Amino acid sequence: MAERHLLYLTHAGLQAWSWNKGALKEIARFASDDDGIKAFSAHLTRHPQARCTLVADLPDEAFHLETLPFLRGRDRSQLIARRQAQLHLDTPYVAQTSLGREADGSRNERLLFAALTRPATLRPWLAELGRAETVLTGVHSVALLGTALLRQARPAPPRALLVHASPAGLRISCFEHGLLRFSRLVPGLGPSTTGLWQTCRDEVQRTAQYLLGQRALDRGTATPVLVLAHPDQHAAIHMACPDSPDLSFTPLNLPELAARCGLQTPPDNSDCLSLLLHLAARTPRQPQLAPGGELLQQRLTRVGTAIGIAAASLLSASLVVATKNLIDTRQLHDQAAAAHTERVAETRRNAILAATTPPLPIPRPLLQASLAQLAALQGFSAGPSGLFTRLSTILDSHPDIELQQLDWTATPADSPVQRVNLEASLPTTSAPDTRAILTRRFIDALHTLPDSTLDIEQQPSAADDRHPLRPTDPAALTDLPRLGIRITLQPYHP
Amino acid sequence: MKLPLPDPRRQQGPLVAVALAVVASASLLAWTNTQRNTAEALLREENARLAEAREQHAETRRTDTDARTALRQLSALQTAGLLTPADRQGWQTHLHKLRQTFQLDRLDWEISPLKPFTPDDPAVLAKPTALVASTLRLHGEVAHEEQLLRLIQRPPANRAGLFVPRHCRLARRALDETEARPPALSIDCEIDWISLRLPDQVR
Repeated sequence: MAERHLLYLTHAGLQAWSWNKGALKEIARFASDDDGIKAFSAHLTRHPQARCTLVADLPDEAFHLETLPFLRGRDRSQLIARRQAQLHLDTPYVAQTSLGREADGSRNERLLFAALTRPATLRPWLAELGRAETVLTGVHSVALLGTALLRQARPAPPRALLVHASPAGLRISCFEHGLLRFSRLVPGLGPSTTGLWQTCRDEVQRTAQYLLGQRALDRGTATPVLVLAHPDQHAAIHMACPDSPDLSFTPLNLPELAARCGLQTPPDNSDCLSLLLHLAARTPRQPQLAPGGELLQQRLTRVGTAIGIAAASLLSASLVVATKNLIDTRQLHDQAAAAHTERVAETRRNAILAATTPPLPIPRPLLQASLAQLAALQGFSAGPSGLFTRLSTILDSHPDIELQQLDWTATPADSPVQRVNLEASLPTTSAPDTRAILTRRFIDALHTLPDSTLDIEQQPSAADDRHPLRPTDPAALTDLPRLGIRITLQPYHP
Repeated sequence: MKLPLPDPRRQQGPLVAVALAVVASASLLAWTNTQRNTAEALLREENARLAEAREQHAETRRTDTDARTALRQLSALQTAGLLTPADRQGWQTHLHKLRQTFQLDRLDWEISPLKPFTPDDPAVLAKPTALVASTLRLHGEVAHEEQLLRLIQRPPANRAGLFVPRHCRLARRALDETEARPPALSIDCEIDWISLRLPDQVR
């Protein structure tokens, strides 16, 4: 895991602190001269994996409150950039903090531009950070960190002044609904300064006068002044800073606040540096003042981290899929083995059955066809005897009709039938009407044959009144009037 | 002041890790996919073989059932005498006896040798069979129908085979005034004596 370094920058120089889960330790101190810069460079070389956060505690600051119309997205960004350019801050180290809507209820947004107006103070250090390709997570201002500080001092009044001391001096900040409105650093004042709190009272009054002039504070109301100090200084604060109609001083317990914030080594005096650095390290999404180029390494590191996470995710996903594939593979192998076992058993059963199957004397299809043919022929085994007997009976009852020819055929098809072509003669001496009557009676008698179909092929002319008679008609030339009938009927079973 | 470009070596670690992760993931996925595809193919193959074996077993069962049924049928046919071929000599004797009895001088016949049975309509016998038949072609003159019916019946002493008249044509012979013979019927018949022929070793 990369080390977390906090770089505290003042006019006097730069202090390097290491931070690890609430434990702060000063590891180096560099003066604001060439030697200090070189030493800082060497320090960075010794800590190539360090992730640094620069906390600037400089008096050269500017705070501008701007009112913007209600906008969103790119329009808002463009308007903020334009306003920032109009401010002529002449520094790249600018941060914007939204203070919310205006108190009059309109939708306009109040925006605080905070800037470090002397970039030359920061550049040498940032250049070394860039040269060493050290990851810089951001450049923060102690003034803006005051917001996180005040958030811990519950309950925070709607408007308040916060006073705290650090190695850079005494900082007085004005907050409105918990958000920074203004801040100034009085250099040269520290916890060890003689008469600190008397000077503090004077500086607070001066600041309050300025803010009253700016209408940042309300007249006629005692503005709470929260003085962050060690408890052993609280009595001195009360002595030196009596309440006035405009100001009401309240000392805050610095070690208790530091412990509440998670700082493992609470300060033993009124110096707030360790608490400020701790808040800079652990408070997410702090407004930061460095332009994008200064945070290139940070972005690259984030890109690297993102790539690493993506790679790990990819690997994890592929591991999951691969595991599923392997499980599926095993199941498929098990199923294949079961199928193989079943097939072997089936083949064995088949072989046993085939061995016990009796052989046929002739191929089965041939046998089946033969059996079917035999069954079809079986119907004709009785022959024409039955039919001949019935015909004889019919002919005996029609003595005038004489059978001339009979042609009987058995047709053993799918529906076996017997066909008969019958030719008979009628007496020549009889009158045509009589022949017709005889013919009709004979045909009616043939119709009594069971399951029979009759087809009259030839009959005496008198019996057929539907056709014309011509000299060429063969029936007219014969001596005997002829009757030709085709009969189709079911075979008689024996 | 222009900052120096970042050292690409700083990104080398993550990039190498990504490359390794991609290669490892791809290799792992490819290998496991191949394993799975191979196992799927093996399972498909085994299932196809199992289905084939089952089908074969079912076919063997059908064959077994059919064979046993066919054997039973053959046994029935044997009992019914349908495996015994036509007794041509007995038929000949029978016909001679009838001709003598009925005094049919103008009756003639021919009993064909045993040959594969072929019906008149080949469509009836679409499939080949193992049926054989001896065919009697009977023609000539008989006195009346009763004689014909006797002639086309099987010899009474022999009940084997299937005796099937195929066709029969009879016509009243036109009398010549000079002839002194009584009126007669001219006949032309064909009768098959059919049986099922099995290979010699089985018979």
